[in-house]
Amino acid sequence: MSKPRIDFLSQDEIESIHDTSLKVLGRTGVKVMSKQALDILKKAGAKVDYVNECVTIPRNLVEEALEMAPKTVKYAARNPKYDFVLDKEKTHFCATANPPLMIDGETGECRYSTVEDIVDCLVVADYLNHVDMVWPFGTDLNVPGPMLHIIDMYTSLLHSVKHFEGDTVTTAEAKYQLEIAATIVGGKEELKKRPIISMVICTISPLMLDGGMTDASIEYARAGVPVVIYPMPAAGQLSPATMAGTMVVNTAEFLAGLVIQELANPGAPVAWAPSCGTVNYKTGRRKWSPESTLMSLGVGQLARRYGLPTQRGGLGSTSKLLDAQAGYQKAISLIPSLLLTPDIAGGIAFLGPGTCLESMVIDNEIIDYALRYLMGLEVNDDNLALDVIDKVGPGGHFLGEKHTLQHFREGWMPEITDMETFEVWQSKGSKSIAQIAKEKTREILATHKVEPIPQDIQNEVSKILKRAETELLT
Amino acid sequence: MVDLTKIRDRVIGGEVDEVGEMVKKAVEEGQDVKKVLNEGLIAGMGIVGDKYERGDFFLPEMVIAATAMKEGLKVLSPLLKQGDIESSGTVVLGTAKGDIHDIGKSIVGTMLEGAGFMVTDLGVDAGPEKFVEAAKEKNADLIGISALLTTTMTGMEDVIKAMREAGLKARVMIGGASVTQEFADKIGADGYAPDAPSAVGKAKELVKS
Repeated sequence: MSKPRIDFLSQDEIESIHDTSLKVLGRTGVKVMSKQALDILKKAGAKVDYVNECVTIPRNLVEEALEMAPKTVKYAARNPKYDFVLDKEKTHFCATANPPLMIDGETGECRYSTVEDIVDCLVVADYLNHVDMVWPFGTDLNVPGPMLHIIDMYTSLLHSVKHFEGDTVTTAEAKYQLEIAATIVGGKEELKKRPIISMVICTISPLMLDGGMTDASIEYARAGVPVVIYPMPAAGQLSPATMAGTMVVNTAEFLAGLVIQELANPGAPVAWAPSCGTVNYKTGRRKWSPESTLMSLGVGQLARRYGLPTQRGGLGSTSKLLDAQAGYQKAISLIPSLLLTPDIAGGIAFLGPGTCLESMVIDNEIIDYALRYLMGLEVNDDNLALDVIDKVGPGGHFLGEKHTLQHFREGWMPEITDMETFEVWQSKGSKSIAQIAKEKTREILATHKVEPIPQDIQNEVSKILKRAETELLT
Repeated sequence: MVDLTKIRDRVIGGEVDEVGEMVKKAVEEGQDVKKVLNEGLIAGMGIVGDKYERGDFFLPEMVIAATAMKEGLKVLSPLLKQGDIESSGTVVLGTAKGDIHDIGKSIVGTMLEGAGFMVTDLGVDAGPEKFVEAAKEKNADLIGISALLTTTMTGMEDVIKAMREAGLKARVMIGGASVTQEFADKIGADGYAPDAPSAVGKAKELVKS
């Protein structure tokens, strides 16, 4: 099968990004606001300035970390049917929504999310065939800060059987998250084998690692549970205005995080989510752009050179409605990013300022289309079809041929995309895709039942949550 | 004699070092300090603001022009008499407790300075006591609080409560990626701005009202 793919940076260019990143780590260094991490780095031979929490990391430490990091990483799910492996061969999709706001795709109405919104999103995510894993869909502002990420995780595991990846900003949160996940999956060792959760550590561009998050990521590393390092520089603001410079900052931040993970526990599973942003120079806010996609592909090539799994690109949109802009932005950002097979692509449910429940079914359809396109095509004797061309001959048609019967289902078939005649579309109520998506979402919510966590395990988790509340809220 | 229109143009061009040097030279030549301020620095920032409004200028140009103006002010400040500068107001800025994402807030600070505000930046991880203390000390007209994380944005409400309990009358403006007008209303903030340039307009509006 010949598949479309893309490699546009030369080997020399990839090496120069790598090399410049190592120079940044060795010369400028990074600020790591975690005493624990600084101690680990110092012990390994890095130069640490404890007063300014700055560390310069020599080349050999980076190279050793790149050696130690596993080249494939397992992401398990509450239902093993949804386990998958990040092995650079296939793209898996993540519902990476945009908390804390919820947006109505038809009206553009925007408000803070409630628990009900979050559960609705999870049920739809559980149903959709292209959602392989979820991030938190919303934020319940009634949950006190120290409990937020623990509750985010448990709510997600409770209402979807798929892998959960989320934020963790303190050691205590990490410990409770890992304990709850272990309780659900059958113990700490089992969690290591089948991690049903993973954590995102967002570096703070330029060149900083938050203390709480770093401490939490060390807990995850020690538990053998995957950590995704997610630098988010934005060209011209949080990194140089040039794309190459932004890729350097991204790479340096990732490598700093990777070194800490691998020193904390050699062989700790890590993935790289190189989000390279651009800025709306009028407002200073992050913006969607073709440059982001280009940079994501460029860094993706470097990740291939490292042999490490990536989480990149996906369905991006800044639109406030499920309109033409949402459609073209999502499609045009997704398809090129998939040409380099990221292990995970995100953006399902993401819309402009918030999370859009009904956009999930449209995103699922865009992914379905993109995946068919990326499957490529095969050229062999049967497919060249000389015999059937000869049989039908000039002026005939192929609809009734056995060869057609054998092959026609290979073609892409839409689920919600309108391809009807005008008359049929009109007779069905002249609906927009936003309306169709809303109806489909309602139908899923009315019919889909999520496989529950057994009651005895839920009881166990309740006890852990009570313990967490006692410790963290008093 | 240093031509003040050249200082003005160098502010517009964001030539930080040159502005500092030219202002110093102008002062050494004995030019009127207030005139250097008004016809050089402030005139320059005025044009930068107009250009931004017209869509000719973007944030990097605003920020670097404000930095150039500050460089000039550094020279002039010790020489200016009370009342020579018409301040737009006094602002105390900070990032809420627990949050260390401060780049947005710092850009707001620079732009407020460029617009003639006296700014005190409390930095990151600022709790209510820090805000109250600084607001009292500086006799602030306006408090600006920012938070990026959903876990820290609720901390902004604590600052507002502490300010009101301390009897401070300063207006409160909030910002950050997760913040909306709805949230500002809920926690009793006087204003909200979605980005740095609109924060300047909002600050002017709040200080006047």
